[in-house]
Amino acid sequence: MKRLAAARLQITRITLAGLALLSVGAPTVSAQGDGFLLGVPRVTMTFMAGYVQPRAASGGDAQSLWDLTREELTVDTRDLGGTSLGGQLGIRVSERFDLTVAFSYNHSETRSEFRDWVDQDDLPIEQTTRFVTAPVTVGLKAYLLDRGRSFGRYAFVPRTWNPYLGLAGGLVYYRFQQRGDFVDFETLDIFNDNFLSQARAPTVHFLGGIDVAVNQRLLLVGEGRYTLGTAPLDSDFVGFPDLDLAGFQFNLGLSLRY
Amino acid sequence: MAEKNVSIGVLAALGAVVALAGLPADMAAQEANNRMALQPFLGCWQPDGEEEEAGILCFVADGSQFEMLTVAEGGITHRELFAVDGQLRRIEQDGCTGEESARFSDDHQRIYTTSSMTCAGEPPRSGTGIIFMPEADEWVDVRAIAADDSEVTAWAQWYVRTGESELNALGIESGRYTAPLAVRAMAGGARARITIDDVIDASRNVHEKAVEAWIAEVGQEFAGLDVDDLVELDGAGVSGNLIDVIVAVSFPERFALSQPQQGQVQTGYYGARPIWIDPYYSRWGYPYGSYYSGWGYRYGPYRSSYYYPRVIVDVTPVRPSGGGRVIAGRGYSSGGSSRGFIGSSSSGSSRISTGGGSSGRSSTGRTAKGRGSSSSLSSWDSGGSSSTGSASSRASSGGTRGGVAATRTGRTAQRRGGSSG
Repeated sequence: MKRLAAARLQITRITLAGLALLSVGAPTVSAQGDGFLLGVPRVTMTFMAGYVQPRAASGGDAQSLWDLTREELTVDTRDLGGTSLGGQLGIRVSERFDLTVAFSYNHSETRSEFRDWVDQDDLPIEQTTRFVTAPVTVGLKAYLLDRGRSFGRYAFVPRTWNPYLGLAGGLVYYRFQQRGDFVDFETLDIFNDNFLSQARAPTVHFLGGIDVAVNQRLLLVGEGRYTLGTAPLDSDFVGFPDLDLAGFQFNLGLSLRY
Repeated sequence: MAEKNVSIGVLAALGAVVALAGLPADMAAQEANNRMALQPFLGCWQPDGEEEEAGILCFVADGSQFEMLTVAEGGITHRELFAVDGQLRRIEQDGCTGEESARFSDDHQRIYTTSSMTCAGEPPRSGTGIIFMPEADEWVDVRAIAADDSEVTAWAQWYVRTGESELNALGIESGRYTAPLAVRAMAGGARARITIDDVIDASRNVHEKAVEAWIAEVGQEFAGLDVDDLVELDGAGVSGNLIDVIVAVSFPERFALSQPQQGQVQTGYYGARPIWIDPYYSRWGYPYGSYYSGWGYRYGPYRSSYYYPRVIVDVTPVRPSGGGRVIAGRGYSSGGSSRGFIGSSSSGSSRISTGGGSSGRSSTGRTAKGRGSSSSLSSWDSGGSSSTGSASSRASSGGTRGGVAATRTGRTAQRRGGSSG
């Protein structure tokens, strides 16, 4: 619970910082009338922060690295949740569609100990699991409603709220690291080590969200993403199937449209 | 009907030597060599990782012949000649027919096997294999089988000697320890190491997949492997894949031998006859893999059935500076090197090559113990890991490696809540 609260606090701070940043920029945007814009917005820049929850899928009959981590360490799937920071550039391609380029940095850090083993002084055998994913995707975002109404050739009144769905694909970089003390099961020696694997892999994102206008330029955005992907493990991890990189993200952010 | 009151007198083998007196000198010498080479196999064995109650395999001498018995529930459920003379013998069982043979290598360190089998409604299958005893108390049966023009598949099963007390509990008298000292010394003595010449000889006599599996399963380092050895192997026509395996086992700090996990490979089979039978064959009428679950050895509903895991050798380079590994189906390892596969399907054994380094890993100085129980390796095995390996195949994790990656803490683990152990 403490971890969750800390993550929320961090998200709040980041969101407020982003809001402040965008608020500074918003008034400087030109070509704006009272309650309408002088032209249809073509570009949207979004800054988002949120919570990410890796799926950490089981390997089924084959033991996955996530399985091993859950079985041997005091790590549950929920503990692997972390923070997400990201940005997105949306380019209008039609009334209902935006082409998007998005980036995010998702990070979790989970402290744990061996479930079934302690040292000879009954002290826990502790370690930390860090998991980072950083996807870069290109996608298409489809708004479910018209984004506003044009009056004449120039005046445009944006809609107050608009839900959207999207699909994106790209590459995801991941870094899985376990650092600390571990038990060698053959000798029961406790050794200190730093197991690391990192690689890039293809990823697909399914997303849905809603834009809520704060004013003609500034939008509040809530978005959920379900990400898919698997990647091979480095040689510190032997015999496992590819690491499941899938997970769910929920982000809140601010958009500025031009 | 099972024979009851089993009594296995291994010493009877020695009496057979006397019978050789009437044979021509060369044949007699050959027979004597074969007979001596079979001595280490005398006694009872069980598939690695399994309890003896599930059925054991016994080799006994009966006059001038050796026999192979399957013993379960206190009785002999199967008995047949164990002839290692190179002669093809017809086998006919449960609707399947075929031929098989076994013969020793020239140095009598390995048994080369051949088999062909046709079962009703199925394509004929044939294969070759190796039976090898790297240590006095364990041996491995490896074979490569092809059905029609299908891909050749390797299979392996380790056997470990059934202890005297376990035999007594089953009502079996092995008589092993009443053998003359010379025989006992020979049977229990150190075995010869596998040499490059052995590999070449094996690759000329059995399918390359069987040789790969043999080298990988045994996992013996070829100490001092050099360019001359590689040239010799290449010149002898040994394949690149097999050379890869030899290099991998010789440089465990640089390569790991692993198997794809279940779901990525075909499963194994259960068969009634324990050795060198066609691995697809099942006396019980079930297709192979019917009772397979997970990577390890697992019995079906019938006793005295034997499961042979499939062997796929996968050589993987590992981080040169690294020592520790996280191994599927086993857990964390500080990087000690031991025999054979990572995550091997060999009866769930812990024949594991961790690819561990020997140049800098250091301990914390701590030792683990289990929570809530007294410390033991077996308790680890039942504590979430799928490994159920025998203690005989466990390896030391000695050695250290440099760099920042691993440091021995000097602590030893114990199960939570347990006493020191």
